[in-house]
Amino acid sequence: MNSSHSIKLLQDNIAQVIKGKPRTIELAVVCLLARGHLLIEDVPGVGKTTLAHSLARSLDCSFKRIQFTSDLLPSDIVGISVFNRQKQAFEFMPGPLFANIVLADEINRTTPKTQSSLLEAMSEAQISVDNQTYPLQQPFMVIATQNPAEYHGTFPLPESQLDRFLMRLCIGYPTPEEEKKVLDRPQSLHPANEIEPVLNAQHILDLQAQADKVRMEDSLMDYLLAIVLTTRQNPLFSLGVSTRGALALCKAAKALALARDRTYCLPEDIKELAPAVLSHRVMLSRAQGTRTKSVEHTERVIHDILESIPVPV
Amino acid sequence: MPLDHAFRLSSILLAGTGFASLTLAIALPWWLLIVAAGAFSMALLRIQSTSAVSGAIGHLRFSALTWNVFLVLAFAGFWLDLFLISQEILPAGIHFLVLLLVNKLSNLDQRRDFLHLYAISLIALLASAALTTQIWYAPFFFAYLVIGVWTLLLYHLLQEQEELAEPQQGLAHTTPSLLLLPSLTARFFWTTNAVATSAFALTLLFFFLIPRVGVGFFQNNHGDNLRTTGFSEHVDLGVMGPVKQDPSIVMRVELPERTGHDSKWEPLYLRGVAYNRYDGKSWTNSLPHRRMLTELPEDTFTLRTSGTKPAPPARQLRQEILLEPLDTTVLFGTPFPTSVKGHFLSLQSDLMGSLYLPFPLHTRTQYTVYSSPTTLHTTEKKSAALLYPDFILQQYLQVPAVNEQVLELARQITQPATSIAHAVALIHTHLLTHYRYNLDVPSLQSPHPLEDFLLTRKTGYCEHYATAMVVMLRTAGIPARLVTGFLATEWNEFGGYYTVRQRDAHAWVEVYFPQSGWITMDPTPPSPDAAGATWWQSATRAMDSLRLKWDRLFVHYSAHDQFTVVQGIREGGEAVRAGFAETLSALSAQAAAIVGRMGSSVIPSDVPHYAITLLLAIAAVYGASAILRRLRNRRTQHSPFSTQQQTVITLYTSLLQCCAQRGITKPASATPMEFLEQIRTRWEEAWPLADSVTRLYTHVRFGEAALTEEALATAEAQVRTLRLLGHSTADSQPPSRGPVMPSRLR
Repeated sequence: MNSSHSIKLLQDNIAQVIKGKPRTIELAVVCLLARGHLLIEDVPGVGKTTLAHSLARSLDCSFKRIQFTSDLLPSDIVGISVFNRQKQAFEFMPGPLFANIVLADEINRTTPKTQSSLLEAMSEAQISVDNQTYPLQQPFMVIATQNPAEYHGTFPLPESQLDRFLMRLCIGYPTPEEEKKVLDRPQSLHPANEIEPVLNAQHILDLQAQADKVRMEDSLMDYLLAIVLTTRQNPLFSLGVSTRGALALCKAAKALALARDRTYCLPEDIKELAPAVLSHRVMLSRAQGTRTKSVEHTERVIHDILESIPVPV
Repeated sequence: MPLDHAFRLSSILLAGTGFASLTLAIALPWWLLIVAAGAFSMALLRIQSTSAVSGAIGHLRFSALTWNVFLVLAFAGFWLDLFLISQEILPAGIHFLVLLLVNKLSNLDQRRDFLHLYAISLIALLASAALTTQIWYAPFFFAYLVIGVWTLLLYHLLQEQEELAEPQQGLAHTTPSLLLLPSLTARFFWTTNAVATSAFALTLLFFFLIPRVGVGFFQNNHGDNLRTTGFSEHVDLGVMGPVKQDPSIVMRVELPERTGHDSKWEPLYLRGVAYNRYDGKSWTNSLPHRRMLTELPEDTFTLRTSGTKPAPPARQLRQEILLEPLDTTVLFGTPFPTSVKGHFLSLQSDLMGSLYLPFPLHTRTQYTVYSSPTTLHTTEKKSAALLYPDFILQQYLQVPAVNEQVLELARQITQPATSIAHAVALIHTHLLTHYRYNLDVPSLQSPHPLEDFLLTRKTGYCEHYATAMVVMLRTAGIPARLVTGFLATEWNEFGGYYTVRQRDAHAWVEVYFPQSGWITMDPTPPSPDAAGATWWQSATRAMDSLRLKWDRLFVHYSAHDQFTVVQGIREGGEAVRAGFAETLSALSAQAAAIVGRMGSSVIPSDVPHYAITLLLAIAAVYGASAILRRLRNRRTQHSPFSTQQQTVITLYTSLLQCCAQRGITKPASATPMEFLEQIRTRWEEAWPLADSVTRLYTHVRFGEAALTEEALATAEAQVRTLRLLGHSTADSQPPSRGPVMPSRLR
């Protein structure tokens, strides 16, 4: 089974559940192929959890869901050492983070303390508890969902945490036709539970390795860096894109090229992914209005930046 | 004919004209001719080849590295040629130039290659101009001008075209496209030719009508203001009066071979005319016979006067004299001129060694005088009696009827003399010490000016002193004569020359000694009012030297001067070459000695010499390869794209141009696929073609995939179709949306 075929299969499988959002599905899959973590942000009820769920279900690997609440503690997710009387020693009980796909539902409902406990897992794919380091299984992907920040009872994610997500996706409302298809389905079963796994962990690892091999021509790298540099210099932003952000864009573009059955990147790969990969990594300067419209506003500024940078011919 | 084809063709023709004029001017070696002819025919063939012939010719293209090696070899060959084969800079340089031309002809890819080609062909044309004066040069020159106008015009048009088609710059790396541009009509061709020809005709008109800078037809100061003379060809003591101090410059004298500080302030006697007969009032020349001087090659005139002996050339004094227009035919020089070099029709000299021109000069004239100065022989310093030739006795002992008192004075002065030279010195000293120099002689007509001066007034100026000395010497039986000319005392330290003014006109004495010849003596005491140098005078001198330089370098810069400069460079080059060869041989000898010594000490003597040679050769090869590798690395850094990438970029650029003509311009920030989408919505029928071309482009450009010949041919055909499509639809229905990009040459 060649790579583009398996990716297609995966996307089609998810599309059975998430109607009318092929682009979002593609980006979610790209995020997986780029070894990234995904943050899905939107109003409640547009299928954030369902998307994460169906992606996880489509893969034949372990899946854990953590519902983040304000009283959740770090040990609740990473695990805890308990005293074993028989062995007369502490024994580590792995938390729900020890899985291939972890769904962190409503991640901004919990305190920053707990949010930050994900940092090491997300960046190094390992967990340290009581001076012991435990590697996580591969592939490892965190899919977090969050409500937009203006909702009550939320703790906005710290920048360092946000930076560790490869992409931030907004799903948006479906078109009326698509919505009708959703309504049309038998309501007794959760659609995400109906689908069967199409790929296993080894497949994913192979695909990730292939995505690494996609080549990015030199002038494209210059193009990418020009975009990143412009976000740093733009006066509308108080925080520009980090080097990790540039790396993320590069990895994501390669994965997208693979998903589109190419062995090389095109300028469109970069241009298309830039809003999703960069918009949560920048901060609008204080003068640019309240946080209310920040997501929209940020994406618009990033679009403007993209339209100002010449594509290499 | 398409614009780019015409451009290439005219560029090659331009180079061809330069090369043809070169082949006619100098005999080139046969192999070089063959190589050049091959390069020309290849270049001509390549014009037509976009797809069909390119396959055949493509195989004959060498890599850039090969050409670099070729150039390095050619340069090495140039030095070899210079030192061993032709041993002269001009032929060696021309051979190298032809090789450069071959290199450029074979690598006409980018804009700068064409510019280099033009420069090379211009040098070729100039070189052949320097080598020949024959009539066949004229048609080549004319052809070069016309084709040059052509080429530059096309160059400009192409550039405009590209600037229009590429509205953006920035990150995008673009290479100039020579594909798919509008065509040229015959009318354009003939108009350009007419313009070029008329420009040439106008230039010719200027050439014949505009006055030469060096001539100055309407200059109105010829001779006029210099006629209030200090120097005149007759010496009349009868009329006395104040002598005007005329500061106007008569000449400037350079002594190129005399350097050093001591000589600077030494007064320089510039001899004009000598007189032998004094009638009591004025001096005349009783030997008016003049003879023509023989002319040697290079404008040199030699003269031997009866009284002088030729000095060895080493003792000769060379003077470069720049003479202002003067209404006299006398030519000046330090005593005693042996040869004169200058642009004169002829020169005459009289028996007393004075030089005359056939007629007075009306332009500033430069000439060189070689003189051999005379000094008194030691033997003659002591001798009490000398044996004079009859001719001398006849001509130089004449004394007018003078007062007894004068004779008495002379006798008194010379009484203590032990030798003739001593007597001369006594009279000289007497005049120097007992008389006062004064220019403000009260005006009066004196019947006996000499007696007045010697006995009553005891004051006068140079002519009085000189006359008195000659008369007293003659009464003592010593042959002497009076000489007029200029005494140069004003040294211009800025320009390194003597400035001679009208007021420097002077008269002095020449005394004859049989063995030594005529000895110059000046009985006039120095002028008492010789003021010290003030800043004003020094500024004036600086100004004068500046003016002189301007005059030399610009106003009178002639073909002859140009030739002199070239000659100088050539001689210098020759000297450098010889010096270099000498140093090289010395170095190699030394190196051989060192190697030999080392060899004898380090290497056992039975190791043959060629082992060392082999080692050295290997080291040299290694060094060369290291240099080459570095060059190659630099090259890859320099150009980020492979040839194939450049080809598809060119292809894609032409696609963009086609779309721009349709009114669909690609925004700089649009990606290829986004633009393709634009084409799909706005120019539907072109979309399949554009899609195919764009895919090939992205595949090769970003995927760095190999570009096959057929894929390229197909894509080129597609772009051509697109262009036709663009033209037909653009003509019938002007694009309604987007900025309209007019096509310039339609």
